Amino acid sequence: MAVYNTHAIVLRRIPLGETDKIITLMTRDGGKYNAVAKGSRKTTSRLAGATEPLMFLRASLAEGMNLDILTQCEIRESFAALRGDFGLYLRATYSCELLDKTTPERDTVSAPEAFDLLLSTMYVLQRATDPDACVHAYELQLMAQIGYEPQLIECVRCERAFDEAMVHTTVYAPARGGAMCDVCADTAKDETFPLSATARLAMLDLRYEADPRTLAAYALPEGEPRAEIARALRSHLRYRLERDVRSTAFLDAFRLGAMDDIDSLMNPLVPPTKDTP
Amino acid sequence: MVQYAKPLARLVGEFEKLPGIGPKSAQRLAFYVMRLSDEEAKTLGDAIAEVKAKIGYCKTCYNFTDQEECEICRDSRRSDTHICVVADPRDLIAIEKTGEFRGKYHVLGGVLAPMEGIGPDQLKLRELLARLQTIEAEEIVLAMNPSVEGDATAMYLAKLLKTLGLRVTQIAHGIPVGGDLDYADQATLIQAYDGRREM
Repeated sequence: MAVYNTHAIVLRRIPLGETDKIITLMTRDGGKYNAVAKGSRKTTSRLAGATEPLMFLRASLAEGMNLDILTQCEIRESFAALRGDFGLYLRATYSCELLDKTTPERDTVSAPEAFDLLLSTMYVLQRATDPDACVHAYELQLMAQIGYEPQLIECVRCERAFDEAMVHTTVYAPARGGAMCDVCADTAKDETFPLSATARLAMLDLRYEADPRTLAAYALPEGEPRAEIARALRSHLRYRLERDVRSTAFLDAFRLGAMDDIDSLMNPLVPPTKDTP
Repeated sequence: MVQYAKPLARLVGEFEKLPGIGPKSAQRLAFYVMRLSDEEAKTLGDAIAEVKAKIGYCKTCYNFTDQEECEICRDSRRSDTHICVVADPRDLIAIEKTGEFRGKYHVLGGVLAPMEGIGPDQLKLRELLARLQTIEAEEIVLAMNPSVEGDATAMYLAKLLKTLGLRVTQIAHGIPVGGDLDYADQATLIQAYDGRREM
């Protein structure tokens, strides 16, 4: 049984049997795959803490028949700041789930870029002025890596460049995968969402911003453009992935403050039934 | 290809649905059932039918019970003002075994897990909030597993309950009794160090 070492981020884990876990790892050199962490649900296991989601590890794995087996690991970064803040935890969880949903198993070609992007995003999130800017940059750059980059430089329908032709962005058309000019928007039959020039330019900034320090200091425009960016990216991802990213709903509810609102949590009060835990 | 007789195949199929049971284990369990006497097999079947028919959720704390209210909630010697919030009835049993906690419980029925689609609406959270409006709670003890989701749930609950002006505490996390510092992982050590106390 060959043993190898790799750097990995734990994306998720599910319990296996009495004391084991199956962990989904994103590794730099081997792509995304599942591995077994034996005994890691015992309180005295050396692997217990390290096999939790959001951990960045230096891991030793043994090749197994079906799944590789995690034999040893050293935590390189536990991202304590992301676990200690509920909003940052939701954003980091969403980032991990998005990568999990968009990355095929054992895809070694795109793995280094995707791994570096997620790791960098988690570091930046810890000290971000505006965590949503960091998450949107991650979404845009990840989409670009997997070939689903939104078209933001020219109209997705008539292909006229927004700046050169002096035409204005008015809407985002998720089905077409990009922003549409005001002329095309008038006759568009697809579902569209408002997208101002301010929002589009902020999206372009985030798409090409690679410097972690600049990204950590970047703040999204306040008010409507901020909501437009979130809506455009949400609809774009839904169209491209054709599946739900489950943590999206919680992140959206958190951003709207619905999760902290006791009145909305209290209503409606469903009476307990024997069949629903 | 030779296959099991239909009733046996059905039993194997039903066992396969159980958590942690694969095709081989299901086959082993089914063959064990085959070797039971008629009386033993009936006792097993009756036990499953009875648990489904008689066990429900306590109307106050959502622990499993065979009555409207569980034994702990009915116990007048226990404090009504100290509530220990746990994720699962098994956690309640684990704390109860220590004999240290003399208050009452609230079982959430899980923890917040965004990736699994489990949010506040899927937990018995609004029932907890409604319960806290009917009592003068002195302390809410959060006793979730020290996992990422458990910590996030505790963090979320603490923030929410503090807005109601309640005293919220969390069970300590760190090195287990009988553990070895040298073998503890860094995440546990960090939590243990952060939670150090004056001696």
